[in-house]
Amino acid sequence: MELWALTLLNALVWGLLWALLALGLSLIYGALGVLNLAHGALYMLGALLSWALAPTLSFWGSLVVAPTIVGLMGFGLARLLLDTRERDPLTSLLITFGIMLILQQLAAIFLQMTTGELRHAVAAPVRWPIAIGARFYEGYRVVAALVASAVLLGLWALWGWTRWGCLLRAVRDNRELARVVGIPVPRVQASVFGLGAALAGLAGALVGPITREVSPTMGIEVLLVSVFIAVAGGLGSLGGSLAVAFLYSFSENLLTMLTDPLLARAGALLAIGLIVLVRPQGLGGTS
Amino acid sequence: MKRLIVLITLVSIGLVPWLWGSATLLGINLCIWGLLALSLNILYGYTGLLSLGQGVYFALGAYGAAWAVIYGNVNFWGALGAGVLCALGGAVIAGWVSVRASGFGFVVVTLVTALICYLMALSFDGITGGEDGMSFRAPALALPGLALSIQNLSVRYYLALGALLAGLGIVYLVSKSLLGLAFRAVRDDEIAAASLGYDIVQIKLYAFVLAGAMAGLAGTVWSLSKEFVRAGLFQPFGAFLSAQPDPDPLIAVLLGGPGRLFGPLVGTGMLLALREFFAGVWPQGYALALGVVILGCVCKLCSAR
Repeated sequence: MELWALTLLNALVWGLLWALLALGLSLIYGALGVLNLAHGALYMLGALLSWALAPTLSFWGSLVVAPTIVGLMGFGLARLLLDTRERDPLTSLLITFGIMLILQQLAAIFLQMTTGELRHAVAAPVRWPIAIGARFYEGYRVVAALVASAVLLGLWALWGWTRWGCLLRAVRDNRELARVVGIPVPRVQASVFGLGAALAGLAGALVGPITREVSPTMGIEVLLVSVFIAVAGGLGSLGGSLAVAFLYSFSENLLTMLTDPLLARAGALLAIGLIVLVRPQGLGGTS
Repeated sequence: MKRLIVLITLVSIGLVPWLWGSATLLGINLCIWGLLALSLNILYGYTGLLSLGQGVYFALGAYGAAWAVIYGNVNFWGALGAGVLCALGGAVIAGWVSVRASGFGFVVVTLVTALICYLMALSFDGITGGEDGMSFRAPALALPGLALSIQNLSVRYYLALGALLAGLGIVYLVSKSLLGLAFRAVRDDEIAAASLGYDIVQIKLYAFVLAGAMAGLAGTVWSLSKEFVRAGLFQPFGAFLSAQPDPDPLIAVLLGGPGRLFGPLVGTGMLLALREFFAGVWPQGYALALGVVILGCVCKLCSAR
């Protein structure tokens, strides 16, 4: 019984974290038409920056600063490299692939030069063990879940209720028309890329103390899963991404009750794969 | 004159183990990874399908050969056949699903297929050896009248060279055939090709399976000459996790020019040369240079259009 409660809690926490990542990807695809393969590297940067800044700024300060830096970086990268006046969509995919390699290797070189180690342990910033029956649940995970849900709510408000959200939706729905009515489309697109990057950076900063380790390659597997969640949710559809993120997280965590974690992850991916097979445009996708 | 140069080049390629013994290992690497890049070129260069999970069929070929030797105790040619068949079978199953997705969907499905295979290979470490891998004893290469030990470096070189030449021959024949024309029609304009009566899904599946079998051949030769396999072969982007990444087929294809017969080979050669160069000077710089190379290639591709 306690085990079930712990599993469900874990599923909820990870569902929110996957949602942060997948929503960022989905937003970026909606505005730029780019599938961002650098998302995992941005997530890794968020985790590394937050780990590096925590001693000076405290963990909570780094939770604000690290995603901001990653977001600004995303904005700059998008302005510099992603000229989105539609060409072959695969070209933009390859550009983000190149960015991923460069960011990952720069992080590795930086760590190697400053600390001599690639992997670093991350301490939990708070220890509030929550008693569930005879077991304890890590309080930090609940805090991380609260932060993630607050940001998701903020994003929803931004999307639906602000002028900027209105611009985003206009750019997503029809780029030509948006340009005609005077919306600075390239700048809005770059800002969406920055927003998505900041979300990935925040997810990384939150995950560091959960996985207890940061390393330059931590983003690769996360990238694959979150890209799959975003595609299965329907690229550009925020509700779809959210739903599939929870679907994935719950099926993975419930499967760990039955089998080993590796097979559970494979099984959850297969479950998401069924969605793509039945609805190739994704759960919330149109056309 | 031109024929003379070609002849001299061909003869010297054939005599590498005697002329430059030290270059033999590099030659083996060039042949094996070049063959893998060649297989991706069928998909991306000729058919326009960007697969980021081509390593899976390489790994399936490697494991197919290893399993056939360990459990089936087969001879050399049996192992070679088993490896290619294993990759072919995998490509038929995965291809049937993935060619039905289009655009980004295809890219993502190939990636996730690789991730699922990797997780399963890690989980069933009893038969795959898991992350540590497993070694086995490759049977002797039996030709009529003589049996050559695979431990001999020259034998490995000729094996890899033979596989590469077979791959080049297949790609050449296919690119000149009606099937190759159909591949290019699908690449250039799917809708136009469909309206001419081509079965798009079928043609993509042919390209996928052909590429998978060829990657499997590369993997089989790799595992038989290393006498070693590991689950990490399945890992998507796995090459970029190591300090000295093996040549990535996608970057090789981009560098050499997609859709050209010798392009992937040239690209693989450039990557190997880059790796050798950085290995002596600044090992971490290699992956960084790869990223810059991709951005450079892509931007050049854009300006060319």
